[in-house]
Amino acid sequence: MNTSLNLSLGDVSFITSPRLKKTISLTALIDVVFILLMFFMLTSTFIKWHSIALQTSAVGSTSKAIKNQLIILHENTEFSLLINDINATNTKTQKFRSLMELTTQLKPNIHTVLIPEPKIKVQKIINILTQLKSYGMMQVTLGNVINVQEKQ
Amino acid sequence: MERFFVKPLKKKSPEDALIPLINIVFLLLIFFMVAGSIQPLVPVDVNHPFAPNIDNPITAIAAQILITEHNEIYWNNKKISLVKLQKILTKQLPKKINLHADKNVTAINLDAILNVIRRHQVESINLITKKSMEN
Repeated sequence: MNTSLNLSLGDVSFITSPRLKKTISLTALIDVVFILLMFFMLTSTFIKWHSIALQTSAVGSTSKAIKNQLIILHENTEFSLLINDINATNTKTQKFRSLMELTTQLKPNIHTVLIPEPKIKVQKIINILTQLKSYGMMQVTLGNVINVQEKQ
Repeated sequence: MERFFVKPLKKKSPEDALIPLINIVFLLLIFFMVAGSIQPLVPVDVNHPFAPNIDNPITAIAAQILITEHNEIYWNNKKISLVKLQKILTKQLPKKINLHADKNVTAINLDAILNVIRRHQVESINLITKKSMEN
């Protein structure tokens, strides 16, 4: 069907040309979409990092001002548990061969500080921290490394 | 007499063939936009410790400290010394620090850096871990 119309206005006549169907060129769209795709493919990562909050003050690590239980992590994967009372006058020390054995003696409502020996690796520390949390110890932090003199 | 009406065939433009391709590209784009996340790149090879049970994803933007396996320290992607780190912390006073320590870093080396950080008034120190074994 021809859509052209003849309109006359006195002596002047207008002929409207048939409307052309305008289409958006897909090439430009594909270009932009490809660039966006490249950007997201190259910049996005699927590894989701998680974090463990550490004590921000050194006081928490080996403080004797509050009642806390200190776990010394030895290189031979043994543990020592030190429980301080409020005045630090009475400190009990116990040795454990495994974490399972140790957790039976831990009190979940007391602040727990993990003190590693100098050569212990970060992965080992993280493992122990996560295991302690899974055993219900909610207040677990990483303390300062135990020095050899202190150990003796 | 029977009459047959035959629809005239539309002339196909060459761009029509591209439509399935565009559909797929769009789907890929949406997938990467939704599933992926844009994170700052770690300039060196740091093999983060693996912690499957920790479910505390990083949300806040914080200063980055990296410690490599060979005990090299990087502050916001620049290699620095421990003394320099102390100077930077005194000058910049960051409130939040994300600590990217390699899983093979020893406790004594980690402790040295933590002691420097703890001397400054940092609100939170987060030790970064990964949930899956892949790096």
